[in-house]
Amino acid sequence: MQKTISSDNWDNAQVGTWNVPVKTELDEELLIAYLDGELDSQNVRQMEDRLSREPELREKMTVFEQTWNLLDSLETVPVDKELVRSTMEVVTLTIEKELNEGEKKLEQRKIPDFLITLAILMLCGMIGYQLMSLYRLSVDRQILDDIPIIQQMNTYKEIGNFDFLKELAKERVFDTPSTDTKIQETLEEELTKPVESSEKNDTQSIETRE
Amino acid sequence: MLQVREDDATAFEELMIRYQGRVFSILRHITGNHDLAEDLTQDVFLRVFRARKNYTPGAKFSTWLFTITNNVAINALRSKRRKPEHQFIFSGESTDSMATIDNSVPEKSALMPTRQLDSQEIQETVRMAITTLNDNQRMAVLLNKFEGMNYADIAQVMKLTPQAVKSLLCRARTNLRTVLEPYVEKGKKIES
Repeated sequence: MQKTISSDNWDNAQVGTWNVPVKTELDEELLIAYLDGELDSQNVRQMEDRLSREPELREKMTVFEQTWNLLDSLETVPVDKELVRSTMEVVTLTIEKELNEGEKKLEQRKIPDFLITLAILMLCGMIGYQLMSLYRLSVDRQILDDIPIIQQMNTYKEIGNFDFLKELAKERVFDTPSTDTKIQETLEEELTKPVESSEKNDTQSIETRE
Repeated sequence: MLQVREDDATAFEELMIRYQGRVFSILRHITGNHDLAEDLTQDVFLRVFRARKNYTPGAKFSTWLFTITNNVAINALRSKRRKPEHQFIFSGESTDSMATIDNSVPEKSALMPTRQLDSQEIQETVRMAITTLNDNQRMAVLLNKFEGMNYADIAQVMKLTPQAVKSLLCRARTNLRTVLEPYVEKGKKIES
């Protein structure tokens, strides 16, 4: 059997010299790829060259072609027209099912969405309330801090000179017990006074009765 | 397919009418069972519809469709093999099936050696010859022969490399030649 080197692929098949048997499988693979139009132009030329010189290969190709063509005799069974209709019915049912499931999912999602919105609103409300409380607290604190000044406002107005007050401060005139303490003392005095007078009144009334 | 992707039922119906016969034909040859092939064809199109949103515009529809068909066929054959009582008559390894065909059709035809095989006999012979192939070989042959797919497309459908498809088709056609060659020869003798 004489074989030729006609492509790199056939080199792999160790067809390097004359009178060396080829690897039939590789030969067949190339032959079938040739019949299927899957070889590149170079390999096609090489295959055609071989076919023109090798009657055995030609014979093999003919048998491959003939057996392949026998497959054309396979009957084509027409599809039942009902199959299209029944498949469409199944598809329609599937669409309906998918739509229903989609609606259900949307409904299920509505509740969490509502809850999420409510939670966000509540959170915003709480934050707002806290901020307002802080603001009020700061205003109240400012008023509390200013109470001693407010209490002495009339006196300060009478003095009417800020520099004079500074002078007094330098001379440590204000280093006496604080005005708050004085006020406290005054209040305590005031509280005790009516009690004593009422007691006196009571004794006087008893004496008169007697 | 783009219209189907946008939930157009009429477009899907048209698509089904156009491709159903081809899908059914492949599945019938793969399973060897008419009713099962019909059920599987329906399953294929249902899957196509369900997966419509995954279809990439520009992708070759037939390749995508036959990829689904191949998956459905593989699953069906697997589940059938798990149930031996429903096993296909001609499924199995090619060597065993070849023995079956060698013992059946040739016997029938050998009784009438001088007569040319009629078309029905040829059909049966070819059908049996196809069943001698394993699942992958059969699918590759059907896609190549009846869908005119090239090696690259078959490779995509069957998730193989084009080189693997080349080898697969070579083995398949060699098997077919082995089984069918006597009938070709017989036809020649009859003709002469």
